[in-house]
Amino acid sequence: MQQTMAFVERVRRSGAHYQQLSLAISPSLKNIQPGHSFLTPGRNPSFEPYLLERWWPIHCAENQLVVECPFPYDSPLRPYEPGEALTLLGPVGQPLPFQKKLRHALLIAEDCPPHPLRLAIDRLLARKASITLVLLGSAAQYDRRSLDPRVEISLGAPREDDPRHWPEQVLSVGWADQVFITTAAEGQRARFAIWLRRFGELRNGVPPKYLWGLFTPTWPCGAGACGACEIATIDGLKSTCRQGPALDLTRCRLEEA
Amino acid sequence: MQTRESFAAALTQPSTRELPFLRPLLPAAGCFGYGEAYAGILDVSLFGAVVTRPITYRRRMVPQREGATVLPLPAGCLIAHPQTHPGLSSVLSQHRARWQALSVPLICHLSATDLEETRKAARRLDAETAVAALELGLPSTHQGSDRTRAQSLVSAARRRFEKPLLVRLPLQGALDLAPVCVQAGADALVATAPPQGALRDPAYGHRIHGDLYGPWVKAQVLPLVEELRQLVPVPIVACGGVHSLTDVREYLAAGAIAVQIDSLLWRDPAAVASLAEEINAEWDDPAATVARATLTRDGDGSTVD
Ligand code: FES
Repeated sequence: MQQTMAFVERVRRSGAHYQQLSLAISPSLKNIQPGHSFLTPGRNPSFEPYLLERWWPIHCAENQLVVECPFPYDSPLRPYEPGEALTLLGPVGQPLPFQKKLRHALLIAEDCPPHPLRLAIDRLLARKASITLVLLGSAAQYDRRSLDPRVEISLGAPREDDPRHWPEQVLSVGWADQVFITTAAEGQRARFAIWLRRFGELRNGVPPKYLWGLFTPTWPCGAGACGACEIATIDGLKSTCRQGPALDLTRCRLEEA
Repeated sequence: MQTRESFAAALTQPSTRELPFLRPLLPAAGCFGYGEAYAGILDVSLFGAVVTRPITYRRRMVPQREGATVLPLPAGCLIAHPQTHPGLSSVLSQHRARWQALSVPLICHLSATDLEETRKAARRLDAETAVAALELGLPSTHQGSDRTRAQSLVSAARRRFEKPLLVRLPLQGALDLAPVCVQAGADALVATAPPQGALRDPAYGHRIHGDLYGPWVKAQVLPLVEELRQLVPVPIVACGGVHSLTDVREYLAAGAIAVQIDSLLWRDPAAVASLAEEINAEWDDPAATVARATLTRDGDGSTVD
């Protein structure tokens, strides 16, 4: 992790709620991987708001990073403009642990934008893997125009017995080599507990290193310094910022949720 | 006679329990991991010592309630630390080698939970060559201070720990507890632990109790440092809300021998580095205002000979 400066090069609106920022980043920020994120005080060098914003890269190239951040319609903050300078703390976290021979990936976003999965889409497509992206709940409102057309997108079709249902669920679960799930931060452990159970039913047991939850509570430090983001696992406490965000759900002690 | 060098070189009362301590800034417990968190961003030699995250003797896996552990506040935040701890043995086996290689002294922050655990942990840490001093964190309570309990906890640690013993006071009740802690054997006091507060979790509606952080904490701690300086004959390490060079200077001018940095580390580690560089330059300067001011205040000989 480093603390570096970035400059806003371009700004685009992305759907109703986000703006997409192209950032010129320090050449020292090499090897940004899916799973990495950045923390920033934004343009605000004063202490209000105090907690850092978390940005997930949605594309990245040499010395350049594209992120999507909320468009401040309903706040006194104005949107970012080209030329603005920002501080970035990161990359935070570990790369998503893709299997070497990953051919079919199932990515799920539940009640949150699929930002933490966007860079994974880029990288997996480059590896010629096929991807199904399932958008459930409020995630279905995400502006899908910016997604690569090679990604197969499924929208939630809740059923009374399964509010997390989507069409061809059994097929896509059976076919996936690995699954990565991002959810809204509220009730995240309970949500992951439900996903673990659901996948257990759908697959008749969940093998290790197959089902990964992306834990995204608020990260005050992103460095493993404050301990506010820890999750109990079979292997001991894990800080989701430093050792996550992806944790194998079969190793997490979700029953404590 | 007190000299500038001896002042800077001793954190504690005149005794064999001296801690080489050459820089006035320290990271606060709970804000710097176990010394590893900012590797690559912050050079630990900017600090007078490294203070670890709170450690408990036993491993604790208290079931976590669903909901937020971090909530925003105007110019600050509340953090409800999950009551989960890896335990002393696990921390030692994981971090001992790194601690031994540190270029500055290592102060272990021990959460004073119960007497027996405090005793056992203090004895264990005393035997650790990588540990230069112990910072005993007294429990923060909303009900005010429990002097008898504080005294037994400090005595328990003191009897088992030969090296310098710092005691971190809770903000609520600090003036009450300070004399008791000194009597029980504290070599220095840390003023203070983060203030306690509660907010409602917007998603779940339940109330979350936790530590409060932000620049405004300084306004609560600064007068306390001045009062403690008058009240007890041991060095005071100030802790709370430092976000600028002025904050550090004010704490030092109020009589603190050193200053701990808390949440600024999370928000802007680079700001901490530049703040440390500036204050270190002043500290090293023989004509430094900071050092002179502090020495004058210590004319009562309460710090070191
Ligand atoms: S956010 Fe501070 S330890 Fe993870």
